[in-house]
Amino acid sequence: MRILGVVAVSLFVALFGRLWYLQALQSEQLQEVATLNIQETIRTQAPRGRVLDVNGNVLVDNRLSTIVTVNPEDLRVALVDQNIRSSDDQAEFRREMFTELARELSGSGQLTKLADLERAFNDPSFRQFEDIPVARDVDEELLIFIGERPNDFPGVKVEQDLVREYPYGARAAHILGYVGSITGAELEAKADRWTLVDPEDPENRLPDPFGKPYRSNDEIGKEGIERFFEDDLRGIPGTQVIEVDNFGNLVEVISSEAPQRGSDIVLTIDIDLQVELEEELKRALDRAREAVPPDPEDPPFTAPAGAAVIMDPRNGSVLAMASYPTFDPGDFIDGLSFDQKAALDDPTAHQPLLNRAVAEIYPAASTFKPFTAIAAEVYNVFGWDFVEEWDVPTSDPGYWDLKSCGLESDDRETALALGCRKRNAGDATMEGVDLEHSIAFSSDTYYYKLGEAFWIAPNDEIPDDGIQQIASQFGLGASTGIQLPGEKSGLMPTAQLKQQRHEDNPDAFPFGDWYSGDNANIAIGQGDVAITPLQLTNAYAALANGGTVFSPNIVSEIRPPERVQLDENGAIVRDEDDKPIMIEFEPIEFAPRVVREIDIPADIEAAILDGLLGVTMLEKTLIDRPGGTAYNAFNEPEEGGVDFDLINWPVAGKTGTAQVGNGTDRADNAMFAGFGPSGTTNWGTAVSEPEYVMVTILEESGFGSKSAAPFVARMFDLIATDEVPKALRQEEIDEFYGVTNIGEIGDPEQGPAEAPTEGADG
Amino acid sequence: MTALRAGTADFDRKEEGPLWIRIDISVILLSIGLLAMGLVVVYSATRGVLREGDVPDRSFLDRQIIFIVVGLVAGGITAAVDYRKARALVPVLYGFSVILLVAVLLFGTERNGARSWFSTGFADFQPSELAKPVMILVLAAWFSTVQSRERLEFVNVMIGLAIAGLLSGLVLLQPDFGTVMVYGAIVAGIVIVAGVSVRHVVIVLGLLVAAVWAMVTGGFLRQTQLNRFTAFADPASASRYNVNQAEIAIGNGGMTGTGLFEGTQNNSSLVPEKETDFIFSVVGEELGFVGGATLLVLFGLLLARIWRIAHLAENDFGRLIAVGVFSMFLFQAFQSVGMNMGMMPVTGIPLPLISAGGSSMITNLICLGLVQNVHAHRLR
Repeated sequence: MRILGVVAVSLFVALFGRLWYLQALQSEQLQEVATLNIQETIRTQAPRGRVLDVNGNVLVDNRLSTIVTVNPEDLRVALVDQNIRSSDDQAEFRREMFTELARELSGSGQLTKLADLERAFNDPSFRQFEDIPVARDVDEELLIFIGERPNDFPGVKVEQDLVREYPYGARAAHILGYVGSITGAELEAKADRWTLVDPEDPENRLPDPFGKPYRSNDEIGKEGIERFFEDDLRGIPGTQVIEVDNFGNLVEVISSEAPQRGSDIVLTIDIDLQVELEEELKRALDRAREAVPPDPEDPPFTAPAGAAVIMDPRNGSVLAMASYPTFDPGDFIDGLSFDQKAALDDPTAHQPLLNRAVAEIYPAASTFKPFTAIAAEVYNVFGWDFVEEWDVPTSDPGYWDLKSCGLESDDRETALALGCRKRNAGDATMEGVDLEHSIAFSSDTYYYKLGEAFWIAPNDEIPDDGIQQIASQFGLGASTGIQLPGEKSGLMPTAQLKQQRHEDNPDAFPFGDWYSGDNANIAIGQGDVAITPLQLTNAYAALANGGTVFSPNIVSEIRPPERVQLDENGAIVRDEDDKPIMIEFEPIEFAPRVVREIDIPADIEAAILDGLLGVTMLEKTLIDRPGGTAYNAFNEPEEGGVDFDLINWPVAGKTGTAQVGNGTDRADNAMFAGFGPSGTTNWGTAVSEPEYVMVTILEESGFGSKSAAPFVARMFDLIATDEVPKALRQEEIDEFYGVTNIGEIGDPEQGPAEAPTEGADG
Repeated sequence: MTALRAGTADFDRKEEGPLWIRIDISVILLSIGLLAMGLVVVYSATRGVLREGDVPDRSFLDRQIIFIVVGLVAGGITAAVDYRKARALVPVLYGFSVILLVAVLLFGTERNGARSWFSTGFADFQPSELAKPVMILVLAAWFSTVQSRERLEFVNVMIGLAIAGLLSGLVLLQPDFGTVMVYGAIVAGIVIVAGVSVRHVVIVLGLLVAAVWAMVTGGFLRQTQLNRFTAFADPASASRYNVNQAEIAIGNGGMTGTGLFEGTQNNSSLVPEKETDFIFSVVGEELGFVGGATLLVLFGLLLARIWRIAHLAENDFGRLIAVGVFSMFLFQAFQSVGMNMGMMPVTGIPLPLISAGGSSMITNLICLGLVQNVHAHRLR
């Protein structure tokens, strides 16, 4: 019997030991878990910050939208009260209710399918006690319809919610971007953003009082400013920490914080100029499409897409940036419909979502020539061996025979077939070609010669990649660092790079050797030189301002909202009435960001400027010499140009006609890069500091002089004459055309929902 | 193993004084302490989550009080009838139990996957609980009859096991594995004290392992029951949830507890079955180490008194009855408290005198009545 006593004593010793372990040794950790067990955090969405233009016009705002929500718990309780208890019967009731709701929504003008409602209702990210939005942006009439029939629609509520609003409609869409529901990957990427490392225990993380937690179904910036400044634009969600029992019943509200709206973003964009640039870009492409190629055998000018950028060369601020085709960010508010998505994805639509100004790469073509010229002066190519000094007029026979190509040999035909003769566009011949006129006439031969000289000159005298070095200093072939997502870097090809690419991927790049011809192509901005329109704008800004390369800004400041104050323990400071004390924050300003100063030799800089002015001002007077390539665009209204006051607002610019593909199946890209007002005494114009740089690239639109230059001329004319019209808001346009809201048809007294102007954070 | 004292009962000896003087008053006091503690925590576990204006739910408390009263009456009667004279009734009780256990399999109500209850209007009645004192009585009677020589003969051990095995088998069919484990503890305690040889123990254990193996592979155990057992070793399994929450509750109590009615784990109903199998989590959370230790001390002292009663018993029948009750209480207390603290697998075993539930409460009080009965007729 004693054995039973021994067993009993040892078992009780074990129980005591375990009790001591749990309640004395482990107690602290387990108490923490117990506290978390009973708390639940309910979040309320905070309004996003707004986006404003440089003059304070609101480009992206929040507006109240009427939404329909269903609360599953309320619905269930109501059905049980109506004695509908089995889950099959409840599902049946729900189906009928949703069918009725879908019919009502469709009747009010918003086509809705039963499946849409059911899919929304079954979203697993919502809890049983939350209102689940099943339809957004619905007719306000629905409020009355549902409100009058609580028995038919138990648990269904018509509520107001904040959504994005775009006062200027689809304007500046590529800059502003759009918002959408957060994806699983985005949610994961943002997971650590609302916690801070515990200073006392680096393994541990503490909640960040200014953190911006996300949960599934939250909206997040997907593109443009909305994406790039997501962390600023997003508000701090309101939180309510409540104690619940195991059935989710509210036991006690532990703490409650109101949502705080996000920071406003102020752009450098001028919406008036932006709207005009978008309109003129579209018009330029339309005109290009109407034009007929000089040779009927050539591919037609399809002009499907294009981009244009206007920048202030004095500080690198982007004033306007357009990309065509474009899209309407408003389409994303309720999520894209199937048709809308199909339309955007259609290959014949030419990627409307793509911001071609920063995210598409193009050959630089003739707009590259000034940088080749600067390189030639910096590395003393002018006057070397077969190259004349820059101020010596030369004769251009219309082609340049590459010296290292064996044209002097017996097999001349083969050499020609191999491309040893580099030709001018249209084999044009010209006389009196010095550096200045090479730019005004756009002589390719002049630059082929320079390009080959770089390659065949001894490397200790002239570096092989001198052109690329100078172009790279101007920021060509590299990201500019603008505050927009998805910027492409482009490419500045060198012999080493070509070899490297060949070795890495011989299938895609079958040739690894660099020839004279490659250098000749580089010199005229062809070959593999690939730049974005923004890079070219930025490089011309540096030409215009005397060599200062900026990292361009499209945002001038971030204006944080006033915020609660925290004491050293991280607790919110409150006044006697228990209201948080709000403090204001200074705006964060984006000063001009100078990347580097380039020392451009003064004489060559003057010659280039005279040449660029010649592009717009040099009239054709002699038989053997052409005029400036953009003379017609800036002087001859009957030739599709404008009657421009070049004397008082001189424009320095360069046309470009870029071969794309193999040059036979697609028409050339038309380009123009220019700045003004910028004159020289040589041309007898006013001399002033350039305030505007503009670059445009029109895809498959033919000659830069015919389609791109007139577009820039029209824009500069509006600017020079101070006639940029005030941009109209969408509601003003709708008013003008007599477009009315569908909601107003039933009730003419009721106007459209008031758009909250000062952040509807209530 | 203590050899049982030989000798016949001295029926001619005069009993000294009335019954209430001859019983063990410590057992009464310790039981009252445990019952009071039980009532308080059962009320705390069942009064509901109270918000302003809510009325606490007294239904469990009231019923528990009624069960205790019924149990005390039943226990009193059990104590009053001289167990030696009632020995002839044992086969009748055994037969009655078998009939009830068969009946519950045929007509019982299924709950949580086990057909263990007869539903009545007021409370459900669980025959396998009432079979516990019958099991104690029948085994005590059998082994006290056959143990008169030095060692138990193997055949007699096997007959005793067969007697217990019939009841256990019927309960296993419900299936109620927890109650069968309690039966096993009763058998083990009685057989050990009755003087089984080590060799026989090995053989019996071997047979038992084979039987369990056959049940597992033969599909007699339900998957949920297997899961509960494997959950003991696998902290990630879903079945481990109950134990995790119970451990959190006990840890949350700390040294002095959150205070009565203040346990958050309790109020949030995070521990399932907290008024029955997981009642100790409420004790641990709301009364802390102080309360938990007090409960264990009360149990320990009660067991010590029962052990002493066994020691002083007038004859082997009485001694084995006390041993059976001792084994039952020891096992149930250890299993129930141990399960709450994650030391033992999850099986539905109530904490004696504490957990809510009529059949269990009445059974336990009857068992205490048996022990008092033995004590009242002890040798001086």
